[in-house]
Amino acid sequence: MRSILLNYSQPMHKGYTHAFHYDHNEKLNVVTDERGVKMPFVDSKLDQLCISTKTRAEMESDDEGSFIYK
Amino acid sequence: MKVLLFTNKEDVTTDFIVRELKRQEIDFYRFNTEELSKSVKIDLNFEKEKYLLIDKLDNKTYNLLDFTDIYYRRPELPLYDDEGLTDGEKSFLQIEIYYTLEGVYRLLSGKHWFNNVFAIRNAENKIYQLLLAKEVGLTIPSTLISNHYDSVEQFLEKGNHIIKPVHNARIKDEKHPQIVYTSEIKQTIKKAEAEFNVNYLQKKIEKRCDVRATFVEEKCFAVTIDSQKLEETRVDWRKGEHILHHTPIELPREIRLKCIQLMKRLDLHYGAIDFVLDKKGNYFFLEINPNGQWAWIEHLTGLPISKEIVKCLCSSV
Repeated sequence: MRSILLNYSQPMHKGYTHAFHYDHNEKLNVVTDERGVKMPFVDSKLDQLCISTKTRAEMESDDEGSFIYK
Repeated sequence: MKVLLFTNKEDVTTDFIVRELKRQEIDFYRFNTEELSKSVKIDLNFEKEKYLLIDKLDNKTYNLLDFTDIYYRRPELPLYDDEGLTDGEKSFLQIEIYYTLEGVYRLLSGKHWFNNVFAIRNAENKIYQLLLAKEVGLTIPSTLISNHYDSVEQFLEKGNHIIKPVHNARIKDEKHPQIVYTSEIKQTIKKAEAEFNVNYLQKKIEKRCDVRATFVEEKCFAVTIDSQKLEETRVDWRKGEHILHHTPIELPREIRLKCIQLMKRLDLHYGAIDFVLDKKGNYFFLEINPNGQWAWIEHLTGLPISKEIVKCLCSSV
């Protein structure tokens, strides 16, 4: 027997490959463009920026203020 | 003024805040808590009454009590993956770190928080949210939370209904993680299923669109989310991989004022409130996310949410 809610569960996305990495000196995530120029990920026009923050909303139920156990 | 950010390295939302803090030349430290087993050290000396944070990579030491403003985002625990530890040992060490950080939050309890971690936890309970939303006069969908079969059967008798989790959408199986979105109930409910666990049921609202209202203190950044355009996002806009169209709107004044009242009742400086806007133009409160994401909205619409957060975050002086 299952609960009703579990009947509506679905496999979670495997996650997205991050194009960015954390730059300790800058204290934020950066990307490198085709010319090798480094820029803050948040300044990039990549759709991935939108996807990565929205995806987090999906994964975290958007309201998990406590610690996230991976 | 010195700002302390509790988060993790991958939290892109905090990057927006960091960018804004830099732009305004505000002194800050980004505390990526998963680094506690690596480059960041905590040193709480009760004899000397010195409570320090030491970043080995920056070669800097911070007195925790020197911070005036705290932004609580998404702290994470160290993974201890490469240390040859058993799962039980890893968990034991993570709990040690967890409770150390809990102590640090208490140590900083007199500081200006955006939002206070304990207020966030208090506000996260969706049942409590519904009770308060009703009290402040917001309209909520017809709701039943129950595993009493007779009630469930009666509630589902007429019309269409949705089911959703009371708390968390994630099922954290290591090999096969799953997610539970809000879903429309399609099949007949069996008694044993209904009684197996608590069911959070609501009458399905025929939507015009979804509305996400991001509140920073009393400033409201509301957008409509065109969830009805795609079949997969009609019931829950978080489903699917397409980026839906977001349009900034003004919330009706009376709804905005009730939201502010709700935030005050929950002791929140920030809250992302989800509404359904029905085809007649009525707003139905779904939930408030006290630590909800907002960066994608700023990215898509240009609404200056990070600027407003930094303004309120640094308002202690």
